[in-house]
Amino acid sequence: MNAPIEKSMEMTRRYFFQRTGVSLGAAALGSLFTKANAAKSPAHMGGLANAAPRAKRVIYLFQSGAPSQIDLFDPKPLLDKLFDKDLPDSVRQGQRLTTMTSGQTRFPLAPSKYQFDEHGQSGATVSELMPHLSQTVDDICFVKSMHTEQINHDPAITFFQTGFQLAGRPSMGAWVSYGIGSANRDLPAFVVMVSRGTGRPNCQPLYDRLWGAGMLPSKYQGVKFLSTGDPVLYLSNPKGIDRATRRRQLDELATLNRHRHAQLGDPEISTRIAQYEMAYRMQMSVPELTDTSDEPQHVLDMYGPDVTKRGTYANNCLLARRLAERDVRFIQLYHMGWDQHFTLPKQISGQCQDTDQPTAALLRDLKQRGLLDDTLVVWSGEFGRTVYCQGKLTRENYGRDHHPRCFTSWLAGGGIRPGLSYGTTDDFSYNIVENPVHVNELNATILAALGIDHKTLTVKFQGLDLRLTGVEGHDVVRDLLRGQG
Amino acid sequence: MKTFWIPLVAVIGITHAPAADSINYNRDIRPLLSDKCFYCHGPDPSHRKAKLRLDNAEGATRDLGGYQAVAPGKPNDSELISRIFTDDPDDLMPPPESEKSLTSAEKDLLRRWIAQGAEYQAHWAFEPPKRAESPKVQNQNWIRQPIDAFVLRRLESEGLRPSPEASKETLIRRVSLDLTGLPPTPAEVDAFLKDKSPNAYEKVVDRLLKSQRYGERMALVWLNAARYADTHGYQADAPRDMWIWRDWVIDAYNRNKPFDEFTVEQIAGDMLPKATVAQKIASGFNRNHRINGEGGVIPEEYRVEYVIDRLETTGTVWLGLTVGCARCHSHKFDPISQKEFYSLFAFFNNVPENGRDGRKGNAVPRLTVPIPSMQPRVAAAEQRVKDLRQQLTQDTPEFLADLKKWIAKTSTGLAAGEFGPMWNPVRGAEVTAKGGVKFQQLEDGSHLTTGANPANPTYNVTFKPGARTITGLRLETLTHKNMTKGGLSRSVNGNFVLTEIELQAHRPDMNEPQTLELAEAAASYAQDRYPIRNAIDGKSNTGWAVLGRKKMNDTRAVFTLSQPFSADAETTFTLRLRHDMKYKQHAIGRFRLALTSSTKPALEGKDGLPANIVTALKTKTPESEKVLAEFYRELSPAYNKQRKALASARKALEKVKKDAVTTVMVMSEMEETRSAFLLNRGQYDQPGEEVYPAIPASLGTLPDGAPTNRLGFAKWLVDESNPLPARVTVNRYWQMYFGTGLVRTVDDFGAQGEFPSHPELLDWLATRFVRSGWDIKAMQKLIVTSATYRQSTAASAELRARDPQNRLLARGPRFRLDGPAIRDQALAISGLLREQIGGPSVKPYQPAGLWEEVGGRKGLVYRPSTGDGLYRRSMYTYWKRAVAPPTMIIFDAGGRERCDVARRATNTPLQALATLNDVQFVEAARFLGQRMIQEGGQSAKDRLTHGWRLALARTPDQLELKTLLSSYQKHREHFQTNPDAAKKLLTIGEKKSESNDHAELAAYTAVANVILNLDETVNRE
Repeated sequence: MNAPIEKSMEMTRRYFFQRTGVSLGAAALGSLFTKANAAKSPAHMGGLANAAPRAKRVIYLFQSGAPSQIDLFDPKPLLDKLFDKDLPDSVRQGQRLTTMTSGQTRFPLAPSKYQFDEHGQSGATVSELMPHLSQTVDDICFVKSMHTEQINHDPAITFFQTGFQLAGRPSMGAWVSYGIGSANRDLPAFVVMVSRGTGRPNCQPLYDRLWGAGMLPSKYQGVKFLSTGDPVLYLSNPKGIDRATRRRQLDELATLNRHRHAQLGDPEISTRIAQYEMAYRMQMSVPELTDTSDEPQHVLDMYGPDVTKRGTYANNCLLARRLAERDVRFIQLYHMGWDQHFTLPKQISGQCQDTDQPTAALLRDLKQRGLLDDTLVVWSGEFGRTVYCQGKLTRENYGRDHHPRCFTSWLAGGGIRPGLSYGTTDDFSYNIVENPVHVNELNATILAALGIDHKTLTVKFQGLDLRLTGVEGHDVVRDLLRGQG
Repeated sequence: MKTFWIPLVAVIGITHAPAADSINYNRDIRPLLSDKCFYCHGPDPSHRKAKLRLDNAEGATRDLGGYQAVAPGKPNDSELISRIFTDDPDDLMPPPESEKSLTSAEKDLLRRWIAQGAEYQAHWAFEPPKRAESPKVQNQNWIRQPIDAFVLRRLESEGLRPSPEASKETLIRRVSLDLTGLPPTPAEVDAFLKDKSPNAYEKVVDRLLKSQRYGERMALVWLNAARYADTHGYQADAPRDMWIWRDWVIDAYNRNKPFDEFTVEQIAGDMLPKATVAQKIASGFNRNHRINGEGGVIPEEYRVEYVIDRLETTGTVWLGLTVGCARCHSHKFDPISQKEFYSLFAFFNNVPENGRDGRKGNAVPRLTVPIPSMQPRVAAAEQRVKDLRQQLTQDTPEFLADLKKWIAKTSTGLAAGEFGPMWNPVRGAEVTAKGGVKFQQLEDGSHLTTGANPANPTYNVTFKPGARTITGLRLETLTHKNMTKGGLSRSVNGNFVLTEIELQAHRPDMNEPQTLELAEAAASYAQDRYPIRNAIDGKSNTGWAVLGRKKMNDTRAVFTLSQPFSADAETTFTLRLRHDMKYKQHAIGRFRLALTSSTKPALEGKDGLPANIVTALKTKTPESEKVLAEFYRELSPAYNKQRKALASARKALEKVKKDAVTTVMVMSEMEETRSAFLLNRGQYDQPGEEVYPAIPASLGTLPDGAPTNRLGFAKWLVDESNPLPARVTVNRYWQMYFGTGLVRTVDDFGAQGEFPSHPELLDWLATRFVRSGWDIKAMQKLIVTSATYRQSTAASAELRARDPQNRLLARGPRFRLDGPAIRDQALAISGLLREQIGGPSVKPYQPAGLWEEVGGRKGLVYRPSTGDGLYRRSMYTYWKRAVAPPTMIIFDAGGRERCDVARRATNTPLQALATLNDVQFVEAARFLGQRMIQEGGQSAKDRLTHGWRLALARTPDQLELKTLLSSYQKHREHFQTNPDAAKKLLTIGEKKSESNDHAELAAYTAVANVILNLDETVNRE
C-alpha cells in the first residue's frame, strides 16, 4: 500500500529532524523534501515522493568475482544423482558461454559438495559454508532469481555498479549522494572500502570507475578509505606541521581569501574557505572513525579474529557500522577473490572464512543498535556460476565458469521485507523459473527503499535524461519491500 | 556554502525572455519540443507515437483527419495546444508517465509561436556558418577585435557595460596560464610592466605562442578528448605505449599544423599517399580507445565496441554530435538513422585488429618507430663499434707474428688433408616458440632454452644466410648444466625426441616460401628405434632421440638437401624443430646450426676452410695475404682483448638500438574490406542488412573526388561544405579561455544541445578559422587579444545576480585551474619543474598502496620515478586507467576511458587536503620557501613579496603583506622552539634543501604552503 505522499513526506521530515537534530545535513534535507513536495522539483530530486523511505543509508557488500550460488544459497539435490552427466541441451538451450569453457567438449554436471539446511523461522536455505549467516536469515531477503546481461567480469561489475557495461556512468553511490546528499557534515557521503580474499589472492581487479561520478560532478564520487597509510588520501598533515600550526595556516589562508573575496565578489572563494574548514574537520573525524580502540571486546569478538587487522573484510564491516552510525549515506565494500574457475572448494572456503562471520556480525550489530531499521544492507556478486564443471571434476573438487542467467543476491534491513526467499531457478540452477529480477530492477528497488523514484533520479547528458536503471522499462520489485507488494 | 551535500542549484541557461515579436524557432522552440516531445514525436520512426512527428513543419501540420497538431496562426485550432493545456490526464501531453512536463511559461511560448505562424527553421548547426557583418555598437572605442563588437552589441542590448581591462599583472598571469599552462616569472612580469608600447600585450602573446609550452598546453586538452592513456583499461589493465603519438600532438601544435591537416592525419594519416611515419603515428588517435584482453570475452563483441568508440569519439570531437545514440535505434533528437550510424561505422570497421588483445603491450596493428631523442645514443654506440673494428685492422707486431705462424700451420694441415668441407655457423638467428619458452644466445653461437617448459614446443628459427648456395644443414645438440642431469633437454631424463625438422626458404623473387626437401640425414648418435631418419619422415609420431649412452654428450646431425638452393642476400630461412611425441617436454635444450655449400656435407671431421681461404693459402700473393689477415683477425689470440671489447660494444649497440625504438598502435586498412552490417539493438551478434560507408544525409555527402573510405571521410570532416567541425572546434577553444563555450554543451550541437549565447559570433569565428587556412595559433591569438578576454573579473553583486554564469561576458572569466595546471604551477613557482618535451610517461609521487589495493595480482606496485621524473609536467604522468593519478582525479580530470571534452571545476575538501598535504605540494612549498630566502633579498618583507609575486605575478597589498609577515613571524617562533618539527618538515620530498637555518626555512615553507593554497593561486583570474 502506498502511503499518501504528503503524509509520508511530513513524516520523513519529522523523522530526520528528530534523529539528527538541527545539523547542516538535516537542514539541507529538510529543504530538499519540501522542494520535493512542490509542484515542480528539480528533476533529479523529484522522485523522493515515491514511497515512504525506510532506509536512510546503504551498506553494499559487493562480493567481487561472482560467488557460486550453487554452493552457497541455491541447493539442487537432483544433481547428486547426475554427477558427471552432461548438462541437458534442453536446459542450456544454446546460451552464450564464455570463451573459457565454450571450447569444452562436454559440460559435466558438478553437484555441490556442501550440505544445505533450512534455517530460522523463515526456513531459508544456506550451505554449511556460512554457519554464521545461517543464524541471521530471518532478517534477510534472499533473491535467488537474479540475472544480468554481462558474462565477463569487467563489463558485469561495471554494469552492476553503474547500470551500464562500459565505463563512464555514475556509480550507484554517486547517484545516491547526488540524489539525497549527505547527512554528515564531517565525512564524505559515499565511502568505499576494499579487501582482498584469502581464497583467491590473485584475482579479478577493481577499478576507480566503480565508485566514480561519471557525468555527475566529481564531488559525488566515492571516497576510498585506504588500508595502508592515510585512510583518506592526503589526510594527515605533513610531518612537522602540527594541528595548531595547521590551524594558524588555515586562519591566514581564510584572512587572505576573504580579502580577495571582498575585492572580486566571486562566491566560489567563500566555498573554498568552507571546504578548507571541512578538510580540517575531516582530519579529526576520519581518524576518530577508523580508530576502533573504543569498541568493547565482545563487539570485536563478534566480528572475528581479523577485525583489528586493517584492510580485512572484518575490519571493513566494523568500519561500515561506525560509518552507518555517523549517518554516512552510502558505504560500499568490495571483497575480492570470488572467481572460482578451478579448485572451487578450497577457494570458496577461504572466501567464506573471510566474510561469513563479519557479515553476520554486521547485521547483528546494526540490529542491536537499532540501525538495521534504517540501514539497507545489500550482498551480491556480479553474476553467478555454472552448474557444469570447468576443468577436472570429482565429487570433492571442481570449478565453475561464469553464469549470468541466475544467481543469488540478498538484501536486509531498511525498507526490505525480512525472512523472504524470492524467486526460483530450475533443477540445475541454470534458468530462472519464477520471479526473475534484473540488475536494473534490483537497483531500482534499492533506490525505492531509500525513497527515491529511480525514474526521476536523472542527469542530463548529451541530450538524454540518464538514470541508473536504464531505459528498458525495468521497475521496482515491490515484493521485496516491507509493507508493499 | 557547498559541502559534501548537494547544492540546490539548478543548471540555468541564459534566460531569454523573448518579446512577443521575436520568437526564434531555433533558440526558443526547438529545445523545448526536442526535450519534451521528440522522444515520441521526433526523427526515430520506430518509436514514433500516433504517427505524429513534430520535428518538421510537414509532420506537425499534417492533416490528422480534419485537424492538425499545429495549425499555423491558429493556436486554438491546434491539437498540440489543447493537449498541453488540458486537465485530463489521459489527454495531457507530455504524458505524466514520461516524467516530463511543461511550465506555464513554456506552454505560453508554444501558443505564441503558433499564433505567429509556427515557423520552422532548419537546425542552426546543420546550416553553413554565415559570416555576419561586424555589428554596429555605440562604444566603438572598446573594440579591439571583431569578436568584441558581437559581445558588446549583446551587452548594449541588455543595458550592460563591459568591465574595465584587468591589471597588467593579472593579464600576464591569465594569458600565460591559458596559453602555456604555466605562470609568468617575475622577470617576465617586470618586462611587461616596463613595456609601455601599445602592443606590449601582443608581444607577450606572441612570445607565449612561440614557446614549446604552448604545444604541451594545447595537447593536454586534446589528450582528454582523445582518451589517451598508458594502459588498456579493461580488466587486467595492462600497459600500452602511445606516448610517441602524444609527442606527435605536441609537435603538431608547436609547428602550428593547420587544423585540416591535423584532422586528416589523425583520422586517416595511414591512408595518405606515401604516408610518412609521422602521418602513420598520427592515425594512432583512433587506437587510444580501451582494449579488452579478458580471457572469456568474445573477440567480435569488443571489436565492435572499438569501432563504435572511434565513431563516438570522432563524432564528439569534430561534429559535436552524440552519434552513439543511434547505435541501438535511430536518433531520438537528431536526424541520424540507425542505418546511417552503421554507414559511418563502416568507415572505421576495416582495421586488421583483434577484439581480444593487449594482454601484453600494444595491440595490432602497430608500428615500430625510432625514438628521435634516442638517436644520438645509437649513433654513439655505432661509432664505438666502428672504432673498435678500426682497432682490429691495425696490424700489431704480435698479430703479424701470430698470423705468420697460423699460415704456416694451416698450409701444412691443408696439404695433409686435415680440413673437411666448410660448415658456416648460422649467425643472428631469431628463435621463438609458443608456450613461454625463451631462448638465450650463448657466446658460442648456440641457443639455450629458458623460461617455461611446455609439453610439445615447436621451435621456429629464422635467419638470413647471405648470398650463397646451400647444400646441407648441421644441427648440433649441446649439453648444458641447466638441463636435466646436465644432458640435452629439460625433460625428465635429459633426452629429447625431435619428431620433425622442416626447412623453408623465402627469396624475394619467390611468391611464397619454398619448402626445401631434406633427402638424407646422418647423426653422430641415435637411440634404438629412434633413428635420425625419423626426423625427416613427415610423421609426428616418430622421432630422433639420443638416450642409451652412459653419459649424454654433444650430439650432431647433418641433413642434405635434395637439391642445392641458391640464396641471395635477402633470402630468409625458416627452420622448424618439432617435438610432438607423447613424451612431454622432450625438447632440445641447447642447439647450434651451421650450413654448408660442400657437395658432400659430412658429419665428422673438423670444420673446413672457406674456398677463398684455401685459394689464398695456395696462391700466396700480396692480395691473398690480405685476405688471410682479414680472416685470421677474427681468430687470432693477439686480438682477444679487442674482440671482447668489440663484442660488448656490439651488444651495447643492440641494446641501445632496441631501446631506441618504440611501438605505437596505429590505424591501418585491410586489403579486403570487412563487411559492415546494421546491428540490431547495437548487438554484435545481431547483424541486419549490410551497409556501406556513407555520410548521413542530413550532414551532406563526401566531397567530389574523395574516396569512399576513411580517408574520404577525413577529407569530408574538414571540407568547406561541412557546417560543424569549425564551429565545434572554435567553441572548444572558447571554452578554454572563458570556462564555458558559446554553445555550453560543447559535446552536443544537436537538437538537445544548447543554442549559442552569441550565434553570430560563433559563426564569425568558424568562418574566420576556415578562411585563415585553419590556423590554430592565429585563432588563439585572436581570442586572447580581444577586449572581451582582457576584462577584469571583478564584478558587482548586482552583475553577478544578473548573470551568475557570465554568459553575457560583461566581465572577465575567473575559474579554477585544472589539476595538471595546479601541480605544474606549484612546480614552476618553486623552481622544481623539469622541462623536457615528450618521452615515455613518468611516475611522480603517489601514496603507497593505491595500485596494489585493487590490482588483480599481488605485487603490481607503483614505483615512483626518481630525480627528474618527479618534477615533469603533469601531462607526462603515467595514466593507469583503473587507478588514475589521484591528484588529477581529485581535481576533476576524467578517467581517460572515453572521449571527454567537458571542463569541470568543483570545489571540495579533498582538493584542500591534496594541495595542503601531498608530498609534491609540500616539497614545492619548501622550495618556494628556499627561493624566497635565496632570491628575495634580505628582509622578510622583500622575501615574502618575492614569493607572492612568483605565485600571483602581482605585489601584495598592505593587508596581504601584513598577514604574510605576521604569519612568517609566528611560524618562525614556533619552529625555533620546535627544531625537530622544522627538521621533519624539511625532509619531505626527495630533493634536499640548501639551508643551515632550519627554523627560518621551515617558517618560509609554512608560509609558502599557504601561498600555494590561496584561492587566487588555484584560480586564473
